[in-house]
Amino acid sequence: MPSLVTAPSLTQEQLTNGNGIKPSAKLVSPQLSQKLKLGGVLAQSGSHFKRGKKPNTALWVTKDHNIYLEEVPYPECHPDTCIVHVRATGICGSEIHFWKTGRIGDCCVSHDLILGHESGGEILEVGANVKDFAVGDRVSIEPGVACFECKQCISGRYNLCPDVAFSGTPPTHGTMARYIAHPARFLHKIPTKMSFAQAALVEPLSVGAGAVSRANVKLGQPVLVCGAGPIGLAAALCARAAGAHPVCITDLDENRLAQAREFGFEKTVKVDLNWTRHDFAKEIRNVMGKDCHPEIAFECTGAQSSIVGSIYALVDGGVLLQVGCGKPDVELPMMAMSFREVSIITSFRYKQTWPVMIRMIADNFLGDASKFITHTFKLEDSVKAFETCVTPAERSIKVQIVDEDD
Amino acid sequence: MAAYPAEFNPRKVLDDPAFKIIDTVPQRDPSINLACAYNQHKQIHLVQKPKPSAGPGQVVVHIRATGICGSDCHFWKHGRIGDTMVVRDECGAGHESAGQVIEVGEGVTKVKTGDKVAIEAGLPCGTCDFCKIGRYNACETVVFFSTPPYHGTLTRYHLHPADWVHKIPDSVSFEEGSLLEPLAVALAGIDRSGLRLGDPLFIAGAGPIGLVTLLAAHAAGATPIVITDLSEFRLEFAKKLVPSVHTVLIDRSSTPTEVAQKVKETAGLPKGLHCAIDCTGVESSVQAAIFSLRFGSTVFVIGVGKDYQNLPFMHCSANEIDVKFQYRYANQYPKAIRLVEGGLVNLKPLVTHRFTLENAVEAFETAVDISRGAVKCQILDEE
Repeated sequence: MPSLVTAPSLTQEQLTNGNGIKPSAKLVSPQLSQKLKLGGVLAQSGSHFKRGKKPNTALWVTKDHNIYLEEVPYPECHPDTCIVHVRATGICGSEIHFWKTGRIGDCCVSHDLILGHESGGEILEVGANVKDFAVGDRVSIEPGVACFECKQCISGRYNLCPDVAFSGTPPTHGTMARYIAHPARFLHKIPTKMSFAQAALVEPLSVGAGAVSRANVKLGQPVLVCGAGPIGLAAALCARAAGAHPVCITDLDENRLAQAREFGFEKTVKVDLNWTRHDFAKEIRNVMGKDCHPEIAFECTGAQSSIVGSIYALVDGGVLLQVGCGKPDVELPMMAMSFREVSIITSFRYKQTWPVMIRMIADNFLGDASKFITHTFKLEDSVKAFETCVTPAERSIKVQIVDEDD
Repeated sequence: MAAYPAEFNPRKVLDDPAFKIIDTVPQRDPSINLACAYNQHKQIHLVQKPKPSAGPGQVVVHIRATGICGSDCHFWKHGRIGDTMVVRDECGAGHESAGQVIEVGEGVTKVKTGDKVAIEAGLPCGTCDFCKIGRYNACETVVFFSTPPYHGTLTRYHLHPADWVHKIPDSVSFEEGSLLEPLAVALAGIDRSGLRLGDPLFIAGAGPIGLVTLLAAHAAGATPIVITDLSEFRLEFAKKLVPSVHTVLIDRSSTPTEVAQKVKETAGLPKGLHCAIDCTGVESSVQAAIFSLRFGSTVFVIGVGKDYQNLPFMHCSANEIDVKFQYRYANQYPKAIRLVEGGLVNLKPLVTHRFTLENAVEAFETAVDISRGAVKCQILDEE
């Protein structure tokens, strides 16, 4: 984890650099120092409160379900990091969950946390060891900072790194601020034709791409996607780009299905919670066609009824690709799976998807990915952005928080 | 199923009194089962065959469209492919066909009279080791129509097991139905090549197989795709099919390393692309493909060529480059039909020349004459 220490007693000159960092009479309070430290950002209590051109406003969540804005110091540039002016950040369902329920599984909000992990921005400063980036470079941020020393990392599964510092997931502070420091190894340059908003879509689309990769989707395979939220849509877009056909999408909510149809997915199924697993399977197989039972089901709801129904909908030998998270424990029809060789493969986050996804989004390969973004708010209006996410009438898919150029 | 070699014994046709060679271009007579055949003297001509009738489990198809394949031309001009496929007698050409079912035999429920079908031309035995594990393209006793000695599907009326015709929807034309065969070749290749969404791909050769591979690879999400050929005409054709493809014109004096370098530059990937599909079977092309790839990639060879070829062994070794091969296809037709019906692969532009069955010989002459600019020649018979 990068250690970002502000040294005490810097002179006016030392505090100012070419990025317009202003000296400030304000000091870092003990409370703020403690809050930052718990999330991996070191700012010594009593030290000068470093400022950039604009205040480093950040969006925090508390363990008792509050969100608020509070300014944090301009970050220090560790030798292996870059300072990034965050220009766009998407809000993820997991963040809403941390806000409203305080936990996902064993991962609990135990201290005030800066959220955010879907970001793109511009490099303001480059650490002493960083060779691959320059000031002004436009980047997409990969939030999962893996150690690259453990067995998982060096054998190519860095998404499983047990020591990962994942931005915006307890305990690590995230990217929902104006200025952050991030290890250069997890920054990825984007081409000029790619906007910051698109750069902030790489992360959620990578979840879809990671799932498609784990499922080894092949051209012409019939595929089912359960859930038409952002992750279901991401999986569906990537599966379709890989040539899956036909692609059928389910949801409980007709609004979500209408949105899916706007992305060109014609085969949609509105799930009725009164259906048995056999009803579910029959409806799906009906819609997909007689000789077209799904070979892969991307389960993006985490709901038991959907998981079980998908297992019955899948063709013999098919694969359930579990993307969505639901309850910690789910009951499965193991015998039915055994007798038909239906398997479950799970997918957790992604690995090495940034280079490919940047290329594909920039080349419009997934269609107009910007259609994902339904609402945009200024950083100062982040709280409103979060409230929009939980207002069904707003029909949001991806809400983004953006900051203008200085 | 193991009875196919007996069921389709070519002697049944050749020894039938109705069989005769026709040296002129006749008027169309639907009562005559006209076909086109090559022989051991490297001749090609029309022949008249007995009109078949459907036995149990069989259907008779009025063939409405057949595409000419390079292998058909090769059997005509060279009389053999390798040592096992040798033209020893009159042998009907054609294996890329689609048509209308006009008669169903006893016990057939899969299709009915009037159904539009695509023909899967290889009939595996169903009992050997390979058939049992689903790799039926490996079946040693396969009856593959148009591979000597089995008469091909370029005929007016063709007898086929109901198990091996595939119903096609009304929205798919007979021409498209016949093009499902080369598409099946490309799909089998892409299946086994390990090509993934977003992979930069090098396709060597823009002939019919290279072009259909381009269409399929594009649908599979390969990007960027670079395609090479000796012919500017073929590269322009490729660009019309898939406007985003990058084309590289090569000439016979280019070395494999030079070609590889150009391909990498064109793709903007100095470390190499992630997959190559060779659709030429030419040694220098396979070598170029090997040199164009980054560590750990695969060169997938669909093309066929010289019996013995040299490969940069140590380059492959030090870069973990795999070279994989393909022989025909298995289990691809249902998928091919889905992809065409769903609009993911548009085969229609591949057809450059059309002929009636009576003019089949002219079709073959067009197919082998580079100056006529043929990509896929189709032979069509009206209803």
